[in-house]
Amino acid sequence: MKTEDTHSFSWIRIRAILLVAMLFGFGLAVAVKAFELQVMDGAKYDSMARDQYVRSFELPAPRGAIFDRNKHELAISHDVPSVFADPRRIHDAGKTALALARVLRMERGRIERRLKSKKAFVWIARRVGRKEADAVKRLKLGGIGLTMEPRRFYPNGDLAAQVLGFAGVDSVGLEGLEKQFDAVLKGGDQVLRGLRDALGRGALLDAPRPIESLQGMGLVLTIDSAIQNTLEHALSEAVRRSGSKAGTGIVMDPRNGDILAMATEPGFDPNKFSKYSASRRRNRSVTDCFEPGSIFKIYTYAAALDLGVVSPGDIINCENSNYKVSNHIIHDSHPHQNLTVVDAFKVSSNIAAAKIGQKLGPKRLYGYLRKFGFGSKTGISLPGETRGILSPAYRWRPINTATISFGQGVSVSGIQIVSATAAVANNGIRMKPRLVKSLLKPDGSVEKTYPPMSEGRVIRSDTAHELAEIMEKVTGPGGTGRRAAIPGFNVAGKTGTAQKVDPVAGGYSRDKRIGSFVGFVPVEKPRVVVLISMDEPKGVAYGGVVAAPVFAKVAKAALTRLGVRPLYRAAKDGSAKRERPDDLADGTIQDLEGPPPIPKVRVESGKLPDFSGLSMRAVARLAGKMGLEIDLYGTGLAVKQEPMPGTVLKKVGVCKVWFKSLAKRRKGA
Amino acid sequence: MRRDAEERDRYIDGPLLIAVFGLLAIGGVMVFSASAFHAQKATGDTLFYLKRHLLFSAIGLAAMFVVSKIDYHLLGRLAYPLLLMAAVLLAGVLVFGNKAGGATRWFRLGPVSFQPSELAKLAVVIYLSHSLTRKREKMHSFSFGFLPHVVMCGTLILLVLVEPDLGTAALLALLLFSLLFVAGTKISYLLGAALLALPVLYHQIMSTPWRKARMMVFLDPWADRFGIGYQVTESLIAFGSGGATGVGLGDGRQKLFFLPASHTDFIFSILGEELGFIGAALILLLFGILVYRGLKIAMNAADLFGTYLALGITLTIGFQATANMAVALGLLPTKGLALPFMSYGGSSLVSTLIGIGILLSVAARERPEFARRARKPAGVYV
Repeated sequence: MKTEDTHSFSWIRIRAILLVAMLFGFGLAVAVKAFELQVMDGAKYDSMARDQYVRSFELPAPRGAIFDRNKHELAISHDVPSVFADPRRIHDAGKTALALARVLRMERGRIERRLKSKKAFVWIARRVGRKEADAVKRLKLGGIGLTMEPRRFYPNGDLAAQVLGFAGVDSVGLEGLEKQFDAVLKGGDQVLRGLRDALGRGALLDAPRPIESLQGMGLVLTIDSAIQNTLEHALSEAVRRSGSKAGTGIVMDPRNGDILAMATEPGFDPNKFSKYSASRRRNRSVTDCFEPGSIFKIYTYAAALDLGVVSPGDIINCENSNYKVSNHIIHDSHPHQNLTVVDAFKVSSNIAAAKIGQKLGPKRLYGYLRKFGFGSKTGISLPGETRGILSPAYRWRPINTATISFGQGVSVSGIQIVSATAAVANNGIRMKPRLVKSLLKPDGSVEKTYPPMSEGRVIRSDTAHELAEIMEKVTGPGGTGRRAAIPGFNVAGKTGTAQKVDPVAGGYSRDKRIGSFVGFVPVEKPRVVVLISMDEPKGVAYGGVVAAPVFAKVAKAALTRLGVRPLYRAAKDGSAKRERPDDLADGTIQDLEGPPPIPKVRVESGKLPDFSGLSMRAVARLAGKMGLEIDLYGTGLAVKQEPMPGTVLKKVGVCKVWFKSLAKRRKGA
Repeated sequence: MRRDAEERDRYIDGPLLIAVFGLLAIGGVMVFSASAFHAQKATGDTLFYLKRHLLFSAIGLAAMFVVSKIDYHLLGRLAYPLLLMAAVLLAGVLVFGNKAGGATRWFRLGPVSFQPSELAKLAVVIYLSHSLTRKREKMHSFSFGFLPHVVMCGTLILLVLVEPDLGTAALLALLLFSLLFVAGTKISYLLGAALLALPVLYHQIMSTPWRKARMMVFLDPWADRFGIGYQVTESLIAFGSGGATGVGLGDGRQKLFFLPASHTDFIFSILGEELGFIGAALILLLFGILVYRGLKIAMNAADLFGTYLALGITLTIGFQATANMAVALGLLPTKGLALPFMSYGGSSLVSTLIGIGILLSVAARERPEFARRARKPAGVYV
């Protein structure tokens, strides 16, 4: 080919066409790639795009509040700031982490790791203080933001902590009522879809519903904060004094089953729940079961009296603390010979209880125990309730019948004991424990009420009264629970001291005991049932020693709180005598408000005074003032004391005072 | 026999103008769609970029009209002055220019800025067309046909390169080689020059950290999705998410600050997102028509100078458009090339439309035999 030819116009045209053809080739490549990206892989890129611009905003609804029976706030929610980050927008994770770590007082490495995540959203610190939030705001860090989140707050700290439980960081109830009623408390969180741009600015696609319509329901409890407070303080002091591992207590209104107070000490602060062990956060009255010991005799006697198997005046041979059943020997704490049914109960004879149980037989005893609610959940609205351990009657060997009668070989929860004892106090009708009175709408109106629920009659009404009278003896002179006595009131109750089953060695532990007292007051018209149970006290573990005084303190405060006035008669002869409501009917009775006047007694400092002629109440008050421990016997006015008046106080251990009544009680009272 | 003056005045290349106006119209809409959020954030006025874009379109169209009426032979005389002016401005921009994004490519004159590299493109095309026409008999010669063009254009290319603007430099080099090839330079010279340029290119890329990074991103954009791969991957997501028919005009989300430069260099991605494959194919078709008509004009030009001019302008627009779209689709490494007629940017728009004006001027003076043949189907007398 000649050079001239290659430069001819036609050659130029050919080369130009060649070049443009190449350009069209490039254009075709672009078209093919466009087709591949859009038509073939379009869905993939579409979802990637959506991932970055569609964002779900979770708008947590405010959690409903929890109130006590008088509408005092026990748990509330309010909004507090939380710090989050968009790691994709963080340029210098190290520097940002350092700045945040300083302000939030957190570990730098932890923040840095989160900032280096591939996600579009990570929490840095949730529910921080206002100060910290303001400091973060001032830093003006790119990719770091603040948002408001509701936080659960328990204004009374540890008050009723185990009952309330707590809600976790995402406002989910994790324990207690917070867990049980999570669904109603939490309300409706709304998830809103929104668009977001690369600057993190959002625009909502869905219209948010008004926050009030989403707020959770409020909970009104039967708990009375004042009684709860007293119970907790009394328990905590008792735990400290007795060196117990723990102490639990329940206060219930027997008429409707309302739980007025329920506590386990030591408790915890639900505001800082994560700092406590799970065992500390457990509501032991409901979740744990234990061998009740002598307390259980109440129900054995109840069954026997109800069926007429025994009468209060029947004599039982207590075998001098040596009673053989099968190959086992049953002992009493003190040897007794013949005792009336009443006295056997009063001194808490195991042998008498065993004999009564044997008379009843397994089937009937088991039947009554089930009616009292043992072996099944009480249905209190708390999570993790135990049903206890009560094996069916057909499995009982003779020794089981005997020991179950006095509370061994059976396991029960605190709430079961209270519920069963409340049946005795409530004329034989057992009420279901009620902890929640009503649900409140966000506007404060009542959404739903939970009425008191009867679990049916357990024993006849007259049996209940008969038993209450027997139980009253326990807190009287010579009774095991006399330290549970409350001046001005008649108290019915029963002590219990149970050995704990040793989980390691098997069998009963020598030194691990549970001392309890359950009772109700006033006997005439019971308003409160109180159970106090001390777990593993050091030293003396008798329920009458470690639990009964706590009972007295708590029950007395509860009565005051409920406005129940002391009952006694100012007799013509000046003696104070405890009376029954029936006696009040004749109009000779005078209700006095406040403490009765103390007769003037010459008290020589440092010496024992002369109590003679004083009422039981006056003696108790005087002794209380002096810090003197006294044992009281009989009723009426003081007639005798030991040691003699004038003895140097320091030498006095326990002062015994005998009383004699001048007027006899009316029959049938 | 040439067309008489009256005929010339009334002759307009219909398909070419349809393509140009089509691209301009779609470009204007897309500039608004892609820039509204940026504009609102930066100036508070969502129409800020659109107003300026329309203003430059009007200036460009006016310039195009004027240029199309001028006899393109006049450009031959302007070849050297224009080349000199481009060189001076390119050198000047290095000293007095406005720095933006690590590069000095603009003169800022009050509210408007001017990009000398746009002038350089036109100057190179005009110079080469003039010079290659004059030396048509000596094209086989190294010292007459090859060396002077390489030296002259090479100077401009080097000046562009140090701005730095590798994209425009590469485009100018491609243009130089293409026109030399068409003019009949020995292939061995071109290959030799290309072989010599390769190490320079390699060095240019590897010695500049961000160019090297861009190269790496080009090879695997997803390796550093939120780092240096961000722009490309966002571009792919934008384009791909459009699917066959697009998310709808104005409904694109990637322009919400996800995709940087969405109304300038990456406007094609937003177009792909909002109008889908159909929209992208339409743009390709319009550019195809433009290039085809440009080639036709070059083939039918009255003389060799006209042929080179038309071809040079057509190739400039064609190469630049293809390169821009290829970048948006991840087929080429990222570089700062605008999409002709569509990207926001005054200098580019005006110079491209001036180029179209020259093309129209060449078309109006076609050789008679073609003019006769073209009377019916292609040409429109108004």
